[in-house]
Amino acid sequence: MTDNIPRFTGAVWLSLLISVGLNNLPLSGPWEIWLPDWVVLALVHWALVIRQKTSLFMAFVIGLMTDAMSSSLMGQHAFSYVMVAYFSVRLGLRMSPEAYLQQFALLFIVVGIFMLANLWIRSLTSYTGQGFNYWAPLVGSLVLWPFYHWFLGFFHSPRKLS
Amino acid sequence: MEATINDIDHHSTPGLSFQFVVFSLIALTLMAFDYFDRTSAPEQRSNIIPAVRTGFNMVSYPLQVMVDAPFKMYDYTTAFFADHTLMLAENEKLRKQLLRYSVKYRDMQILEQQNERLRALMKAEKRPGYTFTMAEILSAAENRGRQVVTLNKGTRDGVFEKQVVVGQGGNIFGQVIEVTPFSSNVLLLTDRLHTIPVRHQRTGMKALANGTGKPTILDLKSVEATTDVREGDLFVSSGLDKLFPPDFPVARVLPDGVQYVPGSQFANIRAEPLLNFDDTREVLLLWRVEPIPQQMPAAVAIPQPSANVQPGLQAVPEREETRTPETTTPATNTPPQEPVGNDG
Repeated sequence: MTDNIPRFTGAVWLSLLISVGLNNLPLSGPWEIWLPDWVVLALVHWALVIRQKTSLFMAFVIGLMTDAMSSSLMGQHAFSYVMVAYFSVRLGLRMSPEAYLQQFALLFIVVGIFMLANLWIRSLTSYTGQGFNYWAPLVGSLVLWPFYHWFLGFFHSPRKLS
Repeated sequence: MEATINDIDHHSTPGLSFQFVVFSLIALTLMAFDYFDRTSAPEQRSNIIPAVRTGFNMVSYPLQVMVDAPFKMYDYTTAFFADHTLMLAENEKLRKQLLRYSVKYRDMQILEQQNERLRALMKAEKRPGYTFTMAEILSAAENRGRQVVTLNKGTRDGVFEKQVVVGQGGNIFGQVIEVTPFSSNVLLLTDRLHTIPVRHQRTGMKALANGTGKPTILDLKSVEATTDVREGDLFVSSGLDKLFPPDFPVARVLPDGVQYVPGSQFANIRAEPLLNFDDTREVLLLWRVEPIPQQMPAAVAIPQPSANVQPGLQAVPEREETRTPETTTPATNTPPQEPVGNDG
């Protein structure tokens, strides 16, 4: 059986920072509502690929960074990213890593939980009322997942277990 | 299930659950504090959460610069390889524009001097002037429900909280909500929780323009159904909030934007901001040069307290050839057209 290791030191951090960058591109257009939260995809990816190295601390810090950058309630994204990392590790244990379709089911559940948590916290600050548009990134996540999963594959390499 | 956990990973899972609980609790505590901060009165606010926020904003600044770098490079390279004739044409156009604006500017200076004299005669308060600095938008977090962008100027450049930001053509863009030494976050007019007091340019009627979260629509609240608002009407800032400068254009009423609800006292008005928020990459930060003097009810107070007060009040602003809007005071003596005169 093979196991995965990060390709270089800080690969996980780098991939998460790239995801934060993707979240904050100074671009906009009508397609923007479909864009997923790239950090969530990256966290799910790492939870599936090297779950013993997944650190919730990382998710927490990245979440606080996101909160600061997007002026959301401090701790909102920290909380939801930690949930994403934890749930995807726990759910990832229940499925075989090779089953591609199972990944979609996991992603659907995890992104759903993430968005629900955010919606709940947002309602505290009265940022609700986007209607069904709010859920568009859920579809976007599923569509873009294979590509991002493949892209993040460059950040780790397989290692033979003795 | 136990077997699955065990044969893949022996040690991390128990610790993971513990970590999860700890981090969730920390995050929830932070949220509670931040929420308390946001909802409580300004004097009760702690400064711990803003400090944490500023810290993380500073940490993320290099990242934002890096994200922005490819765009900047693209702009630079396209500018570098731009067609020479195109550039010449553009240059020509800009030169003409500059010439026209400098003449207008001269005219405006005369008007301003006149205005100041008239205001002095009427013992009205002096009109404040403004200076500007250009800032670039580094990143936008608009897909998170809030309309917030990050600028590349911070306290180091004199930016302060609640500073007004103006976009292309002098249209109001938003206000600064957070500042770090190098960067600042700006809340756009179109944010769902942003409201700006406006004035109907034609009738002078006051209203409030609320953001809707969509970059192309503002909702106008508390407009009486009996007032005369038509499509294409312009709304300018009223300045009643003492934050936004008065008479800056804000929004134009959309076609079919005025809807009367039977039985309702107010009309539903949808207007389009004059700025294209999506395309804006550069904005102007606005500084008020001369804040309005303290004697607030000047018009009422002055007639009564006899002639003693009046000269005193008046003496200060009396001989002010140096006018407020430009910081460069000598500009009044030397014509500002000099650079234009050379190329024209």
